[in-house]
Amino acid sequence: MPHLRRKDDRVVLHQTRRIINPIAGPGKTLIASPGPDFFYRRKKMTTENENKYLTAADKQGEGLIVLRGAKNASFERGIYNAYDLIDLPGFTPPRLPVAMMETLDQLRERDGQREKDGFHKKIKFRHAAGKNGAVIVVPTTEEEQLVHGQFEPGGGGQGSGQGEGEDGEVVGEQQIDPGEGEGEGEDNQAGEGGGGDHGVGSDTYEIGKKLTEELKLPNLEDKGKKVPTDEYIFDLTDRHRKSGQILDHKETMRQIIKTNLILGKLDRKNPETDKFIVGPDDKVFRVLSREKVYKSMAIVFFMRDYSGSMWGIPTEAIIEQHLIIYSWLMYQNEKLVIPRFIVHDAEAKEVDWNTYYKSIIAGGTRIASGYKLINEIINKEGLERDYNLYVFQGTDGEDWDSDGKEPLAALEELVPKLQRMGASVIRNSWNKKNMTDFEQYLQKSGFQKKATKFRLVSINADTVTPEKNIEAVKTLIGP
Amino acid sequence: MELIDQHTKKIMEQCKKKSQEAGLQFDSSTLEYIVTNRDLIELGPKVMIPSLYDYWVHDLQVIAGQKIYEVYPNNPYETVINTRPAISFYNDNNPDWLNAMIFYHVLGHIDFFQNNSFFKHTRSEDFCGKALSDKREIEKIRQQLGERKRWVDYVIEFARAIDNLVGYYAELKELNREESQGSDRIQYYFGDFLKNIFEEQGINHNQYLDKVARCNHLQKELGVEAGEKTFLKEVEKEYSEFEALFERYKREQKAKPGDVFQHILENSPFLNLRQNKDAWWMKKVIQIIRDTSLYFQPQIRTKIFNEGWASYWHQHLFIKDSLIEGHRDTYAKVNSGVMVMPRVGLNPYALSFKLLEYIEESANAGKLSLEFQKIQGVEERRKFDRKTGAGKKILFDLRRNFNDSLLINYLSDDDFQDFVDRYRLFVAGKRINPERRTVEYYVKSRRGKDYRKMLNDSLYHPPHIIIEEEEQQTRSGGLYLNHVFEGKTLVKRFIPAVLTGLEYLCGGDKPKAICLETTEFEISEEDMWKMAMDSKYQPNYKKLRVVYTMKKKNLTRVVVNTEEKKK
Repeated sequence: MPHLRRKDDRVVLHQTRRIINPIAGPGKTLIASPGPDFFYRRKKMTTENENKYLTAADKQGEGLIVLRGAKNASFERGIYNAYDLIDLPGFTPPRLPVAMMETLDQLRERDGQREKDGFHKKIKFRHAAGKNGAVIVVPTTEEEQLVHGQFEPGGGGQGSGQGEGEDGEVVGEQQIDPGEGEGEGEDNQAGEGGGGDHGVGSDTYEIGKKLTEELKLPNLEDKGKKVPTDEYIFDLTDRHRKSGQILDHKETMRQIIKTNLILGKLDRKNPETDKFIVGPDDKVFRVLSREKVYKSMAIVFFMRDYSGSMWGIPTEAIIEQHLIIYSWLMYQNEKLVIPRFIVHDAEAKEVDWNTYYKSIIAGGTRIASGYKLINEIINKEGLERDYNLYVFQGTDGEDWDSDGKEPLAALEELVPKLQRMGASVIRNSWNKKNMTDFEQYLQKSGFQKKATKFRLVSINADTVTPEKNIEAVKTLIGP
Repeated sequence: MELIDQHTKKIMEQCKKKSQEAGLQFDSSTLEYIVTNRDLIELGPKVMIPSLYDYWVHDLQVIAGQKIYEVYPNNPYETVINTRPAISFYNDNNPDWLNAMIFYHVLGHIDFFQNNSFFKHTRSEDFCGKALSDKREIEKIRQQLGERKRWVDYVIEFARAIDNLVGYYAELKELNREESQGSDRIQYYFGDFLKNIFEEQGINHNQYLDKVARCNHLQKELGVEAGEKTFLKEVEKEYSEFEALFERYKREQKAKPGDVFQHILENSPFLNLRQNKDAWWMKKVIQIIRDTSLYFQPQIRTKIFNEGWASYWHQHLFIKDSLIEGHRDTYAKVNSGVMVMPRVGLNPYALSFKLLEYIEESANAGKLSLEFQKIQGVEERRKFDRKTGAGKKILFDLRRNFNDSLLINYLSDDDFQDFVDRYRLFVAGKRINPERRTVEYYVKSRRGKDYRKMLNDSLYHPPHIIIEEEEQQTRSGGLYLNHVFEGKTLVKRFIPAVLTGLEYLCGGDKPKAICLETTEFEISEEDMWKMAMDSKYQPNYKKLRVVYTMKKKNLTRVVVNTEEKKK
């Protein structure tokens, strides 16, 4: 047996080689192979110890499998075993085939390389809602295969049931809007109002920060109006004569000139500063004072269409965009963001986070209903005075008011109150028109050109990708 | 991950003894491991095989799993993998009685793995060991490629994109052919040959049975070999072309690749190009993905049966075990949690357990017989009891020979109706109630036929895809895949990626067109609109036969056939 170097990895190498020797049985081989101290231990080996070693080997992703896979380890062909050359000087043994997990960064690097190799990117980052309004980022990927879809003309929508009931009898029902129900909805609201909000905010803040940096999202330059808060800071803003912390040179100079003018010491045509007299009162100092902090507070309204036509990809894309915007605003406004959630079909209502995130389909579409509700909330609660208001809207562009009279009137009223309004249109895949109702009446009215605070992006549902969502967000919040 | 302690292992050994006495058959050696939730998150993407090859998608899934676990923690469960010895994973800190119950359940699974015919191809070797050797092979390739090692992952990706189309049944057929009685000629005669004659000339069923009887008779009289010879001579007298047709059949059988994998391995110009220095490892990797996929194929096709079988045994054996004493009430609670049939929704395990018990009971009463099937009267059917006691034997036969689909379709329509009535099962429909703003579930049908159809529709069934060799030569030059439409369309957004991968494997740098023919439905915008407004509206579907063609990473779609359909 060749001399064994006492480096940990080498020990493992030998261990592995011995274990996969098909002649030797399990257990024994483990003890016999790796060096003098193991020989010493061999004498003391009890069942318990043996188990420990087996387990230790398992943790390297090897032992358990190797023991059973002995006869299959056929890749070591020829006279020499793969690791026989280990004792030659300068020879680096091959890396052990043990499980080496790639980190997320490595995986992202790999994904970037894919594009260079001519294949599409595969890693997506989903922003999912955790509990109580937290946002978590989960990496996902899809392995494409030829598989059957759920679609089958005339079929679908059935399952199994058990118990009593006549044909056609309703045996159960599920609220379309969980927020209105008595059970879960209440819980959600209680959860949101309760503690835990702080932690949530900081998570979302971190994500917003990361997103802003990584995606190069714009920083909000004009944060709009500021309102006093309960916080104070101390600043050298007050002035004091004779004594203080720091001499205010400019102000002191001014005082000296004033004094000397009065005393007639200053010849305006030929000032001689060395003849100036400096009185004790002329020295002006800056002193610390308590200042109230003014910050900009934001309320952001997320409004989305959850009507019959919004099922699937459009909803997912809008939720994704809104989660990014929310995180971004949390960062930009240093957590001073209050989100409000509005869903609408033909009617609008305010809901909690969970409902907004989860709600499923209902009836037709009337975009104006959402605008009107937001107007109403802003007016009733007097939000315009104290807050910077944002509205982000998601829709598939279908609207019963296809002439756009009502929604446009509501928009005219709404947009001037806002810092920014962003509307995302996710065009349904079956919409073969180039422009949806919503886009059409907006264009006709020329509203977009007038209202500089209004942004609009459209994506076809067929072509939604995480990159497009981010591009859309950039347009919506960009300068 | 560590082995269970000696005390718990002792309980396992006792459970084994009792299970074997009850008729279960399995290798006496097994390995049991305690795993943490973290271990399970890591094992999940590798389908619980600790030694499965490394692939970045698994790593990504582990990271995602960990993130989701932080927000939505969930508890692990018992899991068994079909290896030799069978390995099972457990949660820590179970009391002894619960462990015993779980062990009986696990032993049910192990018995199923080791005896069911659909797992036949997995028995010749230990998969954990094979997977490890594959994992090393792949790792070695990565090392040799150095900087270019990411191409190994591309090949893995492209091969995995078709690994659900693996020729699993063809593989089983090969295995079973070796075992079945009679020579190749006899097989061919009673198989494809008579089938063709039947289609061309229309011989009837009785004629077919006569021939079988004649063959059996000759073999009985003259001995197996001589009888067969004589029979074949008679065949040749009747059909002089038989021998020639048999030879052609043999040639065709040999030439026909079993699945897309084999077709690519044998025919891909890229992989068979002598100058292609990467071909050797690409072929190896593709082969590994194919083998791995083959190993997993039976599991999903027997999942319902397997779980029902394990539940059946843990219930029957644990009730008799002394460890249940003092824990009957807790056991009842735990067990009912697992075995409950929800008011709306399907618990496939409970369903299969009930079905197995029902079959056993019917067999015990001799109801699985022609005599019983002829009886029409409800009362007569109920009272019928021949006390044959054949229940257990039938169950073990089914366990040996059936998968989910066969199990569900085993009972006659009348018997299945009785089963559905007994457990008050029904097909639940789903509709939106716009007034109440709710989704309603209602009793759609209590007919056994409907219920069985619903079950059949929900079974795992990958698309049936045929390689059209003629089309291939004339239209594509690369690969022409024909998706046989069986009622469900393919998921459209996956098609481009799959075809891109195939294009690479078939063409490499000089790509040939890859075609996929499939069925799609088109619906007018107006209809879609109406459907969104009114859930009861039945739109017009236009049924299209389309061909997707991928060439130089460019996907085109051509409609080749149209058919209007009012549903």
